[in-house]
Amino acid sequence: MDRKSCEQIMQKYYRELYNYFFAKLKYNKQSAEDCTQELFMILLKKHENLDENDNIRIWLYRTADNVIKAYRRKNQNSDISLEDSVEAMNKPAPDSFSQDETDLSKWLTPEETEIVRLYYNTDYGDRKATAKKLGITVTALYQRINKIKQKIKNNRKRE
Amino acid sequence: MKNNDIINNLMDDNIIDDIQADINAELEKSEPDYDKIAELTALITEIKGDSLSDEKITENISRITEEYDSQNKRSKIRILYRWISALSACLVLVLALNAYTMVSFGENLFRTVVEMTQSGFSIDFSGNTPITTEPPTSSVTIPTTTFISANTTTATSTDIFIPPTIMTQPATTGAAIAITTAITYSPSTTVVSPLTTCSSVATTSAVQTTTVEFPGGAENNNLGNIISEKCSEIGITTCSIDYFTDMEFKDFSYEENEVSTDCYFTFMNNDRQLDIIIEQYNNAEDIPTTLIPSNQKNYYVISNDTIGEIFLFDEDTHITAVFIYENTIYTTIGHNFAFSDMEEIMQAYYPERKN
Repeated sequence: MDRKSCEQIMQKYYRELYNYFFAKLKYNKQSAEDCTQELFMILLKKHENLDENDNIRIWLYRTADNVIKAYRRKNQNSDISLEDSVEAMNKPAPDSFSQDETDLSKWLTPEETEIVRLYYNTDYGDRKATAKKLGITVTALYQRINKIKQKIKNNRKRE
Repeated sequence: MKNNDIINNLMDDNIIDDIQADINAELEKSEPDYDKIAELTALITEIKGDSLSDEKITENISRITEEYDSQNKRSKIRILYRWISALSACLVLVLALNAYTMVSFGENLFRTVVEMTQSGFSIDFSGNTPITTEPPTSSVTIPTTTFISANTTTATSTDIFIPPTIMTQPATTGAAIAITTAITYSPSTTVVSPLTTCSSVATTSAVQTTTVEFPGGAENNNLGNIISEKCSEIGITTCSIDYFTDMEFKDFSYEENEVSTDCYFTFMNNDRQLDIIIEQYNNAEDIPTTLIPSNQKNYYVISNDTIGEIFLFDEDTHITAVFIYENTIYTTIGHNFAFSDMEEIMQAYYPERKN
């Protein structure tokens, strides 16, 4: 694989792999960028050994897992503490809503309200069924939920 | 579920945990759906508000390629350093080996290498190694028929040949460094009219030239007595030769140059002539590499117990024998001599004891 192909691959997959690192590295933007850089440095170093016909996407994900392992080993002591992780401590995100917000109907359509209800009334294992019931994929369900969340946030700001 | 509960759920990031669970579930599959993973991770980034702009991605990619190019350049430099280190190590090894061979055998490794580039027969006395450098297409034949054993003093013919680099006797304790002496010979003259066309340092500037002619007809002259006597007269000590001959001592002359004193002896008997040239250099550093013009491709090496190795060049009309001892080069040219006779003469040289 030549250098030009490498750069095309970087253009094509940079965002996707950055997102992957971001998701796997406790949503730390700097860590994700560092690891993405490391991943593509490896690609550049090894590009002469890679074939154009190889499934480069699989190679990138597998290499990304190795980069993550190496990164975690290297940053064992300086890793993000559990206390700082919103998700780990199940704490409200800094820009989350205050607990006295009670009226969804003033911000959401009935359909959106129903989606939220369905989503939160089911356990994780049943999300597929919920998505199926709504006629969408699970990922789409997550996206809908995220949009609803954004909508609530924006309405709240306007008020 | 009450609105409060929903709001509470929306306030935290449980959705992200759900997405993470989905990602992990997908990754555990033998053939993960990377499209799905890409969607889910993109969603997480979006939810977290840390998506990258296109400009930022372009900037980051540029940084990666620049960093890679920079590392690649450093890597090449490191490789160069490694080569330099390796070559330096080799050089140190060769220097050490050279020092060892100089101490142990009087052989200098470097000169052998240097003289390989010169044309014609070149004798580097510091390495004591004659080298012929014919054009590459022409094969250099190594003589295999004549060698006089270091332990014998008579000329013999055997099938043994000792390559020049495997000499057991050091020829000299004074190392020679590259000046060139071309030895020429004019058979029509009774006095050898050589010789020192030294390239740089030893430009000939005769201060004193003396020619003494002895009456001929003396039987069983000892060449050594005559040489020692004449050298003693001009105040130099050289190797002598213990060789009785029916040849007459015909001529002696000497020159004192800037860097050396050169003596010329001529002995004759009928059609045979023996010219002996002794060049004693003031400093070992001035001793030149000797070039011997020759039409032949072969040279012969014999070993004298007390002198060391002696090189013989057998031409059609004459045989030239050359050796060095300390800071003196001895050239003996025999006309109409059998090779075995020349070998015998050369084996008769021995170092003069210094008083």
